This record gives sequence, structure tokens and C-alpha cells, in this order.
Amino acid sequence: MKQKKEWYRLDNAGKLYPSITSTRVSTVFRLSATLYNNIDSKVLQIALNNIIEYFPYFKVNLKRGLFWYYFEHTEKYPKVQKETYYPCMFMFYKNKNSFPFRVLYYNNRISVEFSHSITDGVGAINFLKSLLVEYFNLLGINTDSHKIPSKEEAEDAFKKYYVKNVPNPPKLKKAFHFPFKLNSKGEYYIITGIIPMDILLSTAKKYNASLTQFLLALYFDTIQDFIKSNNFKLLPVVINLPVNLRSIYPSNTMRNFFISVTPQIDFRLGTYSFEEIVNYIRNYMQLTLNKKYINQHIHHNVKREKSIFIRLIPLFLKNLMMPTIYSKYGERNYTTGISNLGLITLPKSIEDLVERIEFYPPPSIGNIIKVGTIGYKDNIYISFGSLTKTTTIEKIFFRKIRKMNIPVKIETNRE
Amino acid sequence: MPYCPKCGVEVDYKITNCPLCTFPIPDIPDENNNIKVSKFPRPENKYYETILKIKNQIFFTLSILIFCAVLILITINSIIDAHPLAINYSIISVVAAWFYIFIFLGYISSLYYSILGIGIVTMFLTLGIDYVDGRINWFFSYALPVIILALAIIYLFLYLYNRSKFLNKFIFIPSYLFIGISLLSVGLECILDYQAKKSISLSWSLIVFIVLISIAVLLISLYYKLPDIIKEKIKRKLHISLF
Repeated sequence: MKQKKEWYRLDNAGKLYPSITSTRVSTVFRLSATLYNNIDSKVLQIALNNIIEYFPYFKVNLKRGLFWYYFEHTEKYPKVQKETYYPCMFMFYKNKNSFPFRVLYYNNRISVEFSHSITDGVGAINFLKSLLVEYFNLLGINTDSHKIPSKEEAEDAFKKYYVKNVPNPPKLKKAFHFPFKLNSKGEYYIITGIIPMDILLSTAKKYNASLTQFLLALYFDTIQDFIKSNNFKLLPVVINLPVNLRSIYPSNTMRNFFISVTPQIDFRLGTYSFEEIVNYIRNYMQLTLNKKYINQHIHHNVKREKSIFIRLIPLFLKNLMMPTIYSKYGERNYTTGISNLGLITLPKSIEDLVERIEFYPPPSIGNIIKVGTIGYKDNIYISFGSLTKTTTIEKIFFRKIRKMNIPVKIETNRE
Repeated sequence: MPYCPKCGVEVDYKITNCPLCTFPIPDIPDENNNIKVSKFPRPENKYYETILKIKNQIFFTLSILIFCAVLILITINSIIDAHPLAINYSIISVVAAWFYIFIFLGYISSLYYSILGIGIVTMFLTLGIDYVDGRINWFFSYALPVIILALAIIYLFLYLYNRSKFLNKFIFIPSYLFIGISLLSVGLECILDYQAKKSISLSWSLIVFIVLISIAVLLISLYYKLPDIIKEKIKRKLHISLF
């Protein structure tokens, strides 16, 4: 008898992404590890084949149902590819036998690019860590063994921690957007600033702020400078800040489990000093990063998914409607986004073999500039992903850091 | 390590311009003689390659369908005693559809040539439909002038749009559309009147023209701003501040 293929529902956040994916809005983000030696692609392929069994929820193909997409387990194996295109490019993971992620290599760098439909930054980090461990294991460097995947890792944590009868969170209004000209399709520019962690942390401490709060304040201040120096029509500046909910709820899911909080400053009220911005963000975080506030958002999202009216809309109609709805209720209301994946640690045995880890945010037409930050060893890597050739925002941001006497090294994929 | 003198940020050796401000960076030799490993490949643009592949697939599939449709129509014509006019109309339309698909899929890269292509295909389509019964009745008197008029107005619209697309498209697109439609309606009535009565007396198109041109002029003058005296008068009379 033919064995039944396992299948998974997309998680609450992931359900949106296949419907809004286009050649510009790839919804693909990248995590990459730079080693000291060139990558052996054959060993990398074997490593990938070995570890994919530990991530059964990633060894899937996306399929179309009548009402929703779903993931179906596949017996095929993903292939590692040599990097040739711009980062975070679109992937046709709706096609037959396509995986919703890719593993790339170039010189001494291994990159994993995930569609957001399948996982968030935490899932991708765990996958990359396992891949590195297995890669070095195969090269004869003894590292930790893999843990056996638990059922909990494949759960939709949004549904698990959904609380009924909670009022909806307040609605956002249209936010300020960068008025830059879009680049050609198929191009995505990255500017990464490499900053010593200890100096950045001590500067943040001077302002009594955490690293995320400090970077967020710097970003707000950058946008304030940009708006004020160009006399743009003022609208509130809203920054989308995804929060990893695994730190609030006891979940180990490897699928999406984040909620975006949206600090906003209305510069129509006047010019804010940097200290005022930091104060606002610190207080905002204290108000929002708690279960009661987050429950509102989880409830709002899950309730919409559970609605019988939404469930009954055929998939092809959902695909037609979703990009407009997402633009109206999603990115239209944010100026930009900043994702901080935190400090990444690798097993001691391989830490000295990996020079750096970087994170690139997914490109989006609604927010043409987004920021991804990640810490590894002594540095923090701040990457601006941009769909425009203009570098004004990056320039103001990094110059501000330099003015605080913090050293910055800049790298880019721009020609 | 080389630095950008303007931004103060460190950059890699061999970088000629600052990635942030494009300021030229002095060429400093690497003291440690490290071998430079490029961090990114010289990226290829995935978009055009992928889109061309998809486009080819669509065009190939549709071409087969159209070829089958023409074959079926010819077969029906030879087997069944169908009305030859109906079959000929269908064959001409299907063949024209194939040319339209070719143009709409963007195989002609220039927009101006694409529009010209659409015009030429439409000319042949109307000529073919007119000539099905063996005589040319209305092609030269109606179809050709209307097509040339429509093409001229579309080219005018594009010319004006390209001149102002970086200014404020939300004002210019409706304004130019209104101007285009008003000119088209006047032109259409002229052609119809002339062919029917051999004289021109405008009626309905004049109403369309006056209304739409007024709106367009209002929108454009709002953008270019009115003289201060008129602005002041509007403010005083209406107690509003529009500008």
C-alpha cells in the first residue's frame, strides 16, 4: 500500500506570504555564515542531506488546496546551489518539487534563504547552525550531535497560545514612506555596517537603553533628519519591529512565531531630541512587550484566519485580494522595518572556524528599505536591504554612529 | 584600512568610492598583502531571465492553441457547409489575436514600437474583416482614420506623461487622460459626421470636450498654482485655504 504523505497547515503568519509573493516582494530572507576556508560544495550537499531529516517540517513542497495552501512532505532532497543572483531573490516555491528555502555557497560563505511562509529568523538560525555543525562534522571536526525533532517544533504556536474574547488592537494609519525611485526588478542592494559590540553596548547603556532600543532610536532619528532636511509632507513615522514570541511564551516551534510591534513618532509635533526618542522607545517597549498586549495581536490574527467567511473564499480569490489587503493593512502603515535576531552563539568547537554571521531582511515594495541586525562574536552586523539606488538613509544612519565615536566598517554588494 | 573622508567609515581595500556617499576613496595598498576574497558574486539579474522563460512558455502554449483553432476552423469549413463569411471572420480574428498576444507579452521592448505594432495589427484586422466579402466598404472611410487618430492621441499622451512623470503623476495622469478623451471624441465626431453628411457640425463631442478640458485645466493649474491675486480671492470668498 502506498504510504500516506504527511502534510502541514501553514502557520497563522505564514498563510499570508504565498499569496503576496511576487518577483519584487520575494518574502525571502537570508542568513549567511562566512568561514575562513572555501566551501566544499559536495560536503555541503551531504551535510544538507543529513540534517534535513532533523527538520521534517522544512522537507516539504507547497501545494494548492481549494481554500488554503498547505505543505506536503517530500522524499526528494534540496540541492545546494552556487550563488549567482542578488540576495533574497524570489523563489518559485509554488512550483512542483520546489523547496521553500535554498542553500547557497560562494567562495567561503554558506547562505540559507528561507521563504517567510515556512519559518522566521529563529527557525532559520537553528537550521543554519545544524548545517554548519554537520558540515564541520563531515570535515572531521567533532562537534555536538543533533537533537531529535520534537512534535512541538512543528506546531502552530499562534493557535496554541490564542486567547478568545480579547478586544482588537488599535488600528494604524498611513505612515510616511521613503520617496525614492525603485531600482530594476531582480536587483536587491545590501549595505552592511560592522560595528564592535562592546562599544555599541556601552554607548547604548549611556542612554539607559538596550541594543534594540538604541538602534531603533537611531533609526527614528535618521528618518527625522531626512524628513526635516527635505521638508517632506509630514506623516507619522512607524517602524515595524518583529518580536520573537518564544521569549514570552514557552514554545520551541521552528515555524513562524512573531508579532510586529509598531513604535511610532509623529514629527508634526516638533523636533525630537535623541534622548526623547530613546525615552519614548523604552517606555513603548515596556507597555507593549507583555502577554496582555501581545495576546491582542495574536487574537486579532488568529480570529481572522478562523473566520468562516475568510475560510470559504477560494484560494485563487484570496491570491487576488491578499496583496491589496496586505498593502492597505500592512506595509502602508509602516515606514520601514528593523529585525534584530540577537546574539548568535555556535558550539565552541566550531566558533573559531566561522568568521561571521549576517542577516539580510526580505525585499518589499511597500517598505523599500528594511534593516536586519545580528550579533556574532565581537561584532554586530547591521544590514540595510534596499530596493532603491539611493543611499541617503544608510548614509545618515552610519554617519550618526560615527559621530558617537563608534567605529563602523561598511560593505556592500553594490557595484 | 581605507576610510571615507566624508562619512568616516572604514571600507575594504580596492574600493574606489564610498558605498554610502560615493565620495572617491584614496587607493591605499594593503600592508598585510591579504588576498582579497570577494564577498559577493558579480550578480546576474534573475528577473529578466526567469520572466523570458515564463513568457516563452505562455507564448508557445497559446501559439499551439491558436494554430489548433485555425486548423479546426479550416476543417469545419471543408467538411460542413458553414457560412464562409463566419469562418473567415473567425480565422482573421484568431490570427490577429496571435499578433496581439505577441505584442502584449512584451517581445517588442520599446513601448512606442509596441503601440505602433498594435495599430498596424488593428489596421490589418479591420482591413481583413472588411475585405471578407471581396469589397472594401468602410476601412478607408472609418477604420483607418479612427486608428490613426487613436494612435496620435496615445503618442501625445505618452509624450506628455514622459515629460512630467517625475513631477506629480497623480495630477498629470487624469489631466492628460481627460485631454486625450476630449480630443478623441471631437475627432470621432468629425470623422463620423464627414463620412455621413460630408460636412462637420459638432454636437455631443463639444460637450465632452468642454467639460473634460475644463477639469484638466483646473487640475493642471492647481498643480502649477494660480496667481496670488486669484488665490487670495478664492480664500476670501470661500474661507478656505486650498493652496
